[in-house]
Amino acid sequence: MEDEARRIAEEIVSEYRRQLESVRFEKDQVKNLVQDAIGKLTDSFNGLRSSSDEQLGLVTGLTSSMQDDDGGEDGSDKKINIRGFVSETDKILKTFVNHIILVSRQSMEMVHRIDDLSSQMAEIVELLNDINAIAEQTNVLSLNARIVAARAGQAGEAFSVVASEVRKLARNSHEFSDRINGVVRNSKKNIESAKGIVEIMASKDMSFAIEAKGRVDEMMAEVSEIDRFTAETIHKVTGVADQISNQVGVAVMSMQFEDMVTQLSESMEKKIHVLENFSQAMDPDILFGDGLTAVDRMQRLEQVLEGQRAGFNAVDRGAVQQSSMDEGDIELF
Amino acid sequence: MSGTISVERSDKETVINIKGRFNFEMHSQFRTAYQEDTSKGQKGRKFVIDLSGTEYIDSSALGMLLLLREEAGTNESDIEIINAKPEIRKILETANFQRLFKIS
Repeated sequence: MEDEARRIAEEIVSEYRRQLESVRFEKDQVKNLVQDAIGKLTDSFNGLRSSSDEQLGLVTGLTSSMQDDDGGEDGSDKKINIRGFVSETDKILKTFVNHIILVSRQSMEMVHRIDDLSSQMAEIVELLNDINAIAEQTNVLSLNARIVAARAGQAGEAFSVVASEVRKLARNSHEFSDRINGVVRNSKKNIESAKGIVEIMASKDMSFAIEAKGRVDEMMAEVSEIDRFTAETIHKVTGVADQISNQVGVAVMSMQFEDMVTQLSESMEKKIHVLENFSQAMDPDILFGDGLTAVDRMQRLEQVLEGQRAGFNAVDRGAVQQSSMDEGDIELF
Repeated sequence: MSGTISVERSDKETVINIKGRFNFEMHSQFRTAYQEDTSKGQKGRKFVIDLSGTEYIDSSALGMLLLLREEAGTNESDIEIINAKPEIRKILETANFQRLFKIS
């Protein structure tokens, strides 16, 4: 009978240890699971932060490459961007307009010279008229000389020859001046047609320039609007990136509960260790040992209880006191 | 089709008023309008081009204005273009004339 009781007591101790061992196993599992999850969460949050930083860098780089103003006009490696393209177009348009006006100015100067030439031609025609008048007078003069020579009879024979030669000269000079007049008339026609060509060169409708300028100005306004929108978006993206960074910071800081879990787990380990000693209360020697009085047994059991209480309390005093991280003063990691 | 030019002269100032279309056909009238003053070699005379009645302007007119500026002596004379209609003023500005003339 006594042997049977001793066996049951031993079984109780062994069952008690087995169950404690199971608690210990699960406690270790909790600790490992939490540590593992925290490690992954921390990595993941840090990855999130660096991805967000990278994303911000990419967006900023993309927009700055669009907005970068060309540093110098001779920069061969300058980037092409919308603003640069529009202002280049504006420059080309101005050059084109200037060129047209310069051509017009020179054409008008040429027209002035042509007009001067025309009035000089008119002077030539007047001079030719004078020459014709002289020729006409000479002709009359030679006619009179011939009449006078005829009257003089044989003595005027030679003079008559001279008179008819003079008449021939007068006719010749009339003929020459007519020919010159013809050349001048042709020249006048050529001059008029030259003036017509110059007119085409000089006269360009300028409305194209105004329309083109208007379009360039519109494009400039649109580019400014795009720039403004881009700057605004960048500002927002930067704000969002800052928020992500802050939130990740908070999350990573919150991961400090790992420390508490570790400390609590250590404390549990110690308590389990203390509890293991509790099995002394089931010591068959105390319960069933020969030569022990009931008082002896009671005293021994009280000793076990006292020792157990003291051991457990000692562990409890060293354990983590706070129940939330806000109250703790754990170092940041 | 083409315009007309009238001129008013005072001691120091010549006002050239251009009505209608200011284009190539006006070159002779325009030249005559200022030549009387510029051919004397007199410097420092002020020219006022009144465009209040001008309906149209083309590049040859711009060329004529540049020639007036040269023949009037760019340094001593000042040339003022007044009363241009908005469309014509735009053409003058596109041609950068505000650097060479007083436009008001």
